[in-house]
Amino acid sequence: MTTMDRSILVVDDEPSLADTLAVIFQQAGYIANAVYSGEEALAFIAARRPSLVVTDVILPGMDGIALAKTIRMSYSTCRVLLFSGNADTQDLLEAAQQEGHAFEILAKPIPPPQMLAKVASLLDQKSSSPA
Amino acid sequence: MASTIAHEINNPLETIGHAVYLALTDPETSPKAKSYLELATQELDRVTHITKQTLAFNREDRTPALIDLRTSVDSVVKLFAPRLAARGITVERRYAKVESIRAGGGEIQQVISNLISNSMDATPNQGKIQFRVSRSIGKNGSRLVRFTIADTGSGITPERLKKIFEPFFTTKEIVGTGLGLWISKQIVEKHGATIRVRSKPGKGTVFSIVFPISEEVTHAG
Repeated sequence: MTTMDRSILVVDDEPSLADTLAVIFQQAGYIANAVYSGEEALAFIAARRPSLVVTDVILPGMDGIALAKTIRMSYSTCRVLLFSGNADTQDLLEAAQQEGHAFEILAKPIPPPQMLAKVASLLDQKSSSPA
Repeated sequence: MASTIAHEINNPLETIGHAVYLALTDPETSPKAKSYLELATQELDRVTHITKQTLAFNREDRTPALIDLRTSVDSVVKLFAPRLAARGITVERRYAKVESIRAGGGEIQQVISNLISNSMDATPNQGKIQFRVSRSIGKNGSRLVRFTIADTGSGITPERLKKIFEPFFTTKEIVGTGLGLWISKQIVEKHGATIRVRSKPGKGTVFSIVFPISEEVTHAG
């Protein structure tokens, strides 16, 4: 696994949440950064090409699912993991699925060991089979 | 409303979880502080479990389908069976032949689960909880299905009974979230059903939910 295969971008409009999750990833040996909106995420992805984006679903402006769809269309090697504290995200996910986009979503709160295991599994898949 | 509250609770819980984890894994944290943080992690896991139980998330909860209430009750009772047996609580089930209702299966199980959990908390060891699923007729002659759960617990005073479906109201001294019955009422009303409670302090409490029968079932039979 190369250094770039271990780069993660965290997207959440609650800075304390995004920042602490990025630190948890850094401590686990990943290169991790945090941004607080979908628009900021797109700019970061264009410049730095992370291998995984972990994004909240409900964001001001561009929501997490619109962001995930854009990533899938424009950056095919970047994986996306959605997480949300809101039970009403199912409608957004179903709408995306009807357009042919199936995404995995985790329900907040997610214990950090569980999140780390999920991220490791996604990045292992990526290193063995390109997305 | 429930999803808004879920968001407002789950996001801070997520951040607290991060902070506690970071402190716990910091090599400079003293062993004594670590023991406190481990305690905080355990309690956080407990709160997480409660929020996920009461503010359900999964797809099954929201997808309406024709469901048999008797099957829903059986599946939830099965989940609680070890705890009921450990406390010597007798379960009695009386089922009439009833039509299906159209509802989110997971949501209905969540409501039944909340009610059983409350009954268990109120019922002394060796007590009894009765479940009943029966037919009923509405004022306009419509066909209904009634679910009743009755316990031989401590009961609720009339003053407390008035507030029982209000959010964050709890009769439990230690573990109550005060959300279970409020969420249950929301779910019940979303399905066009009604929930009622009657109770006698020292004797026990009875919750009953009356569901409309799905039109497609009515037309079919």
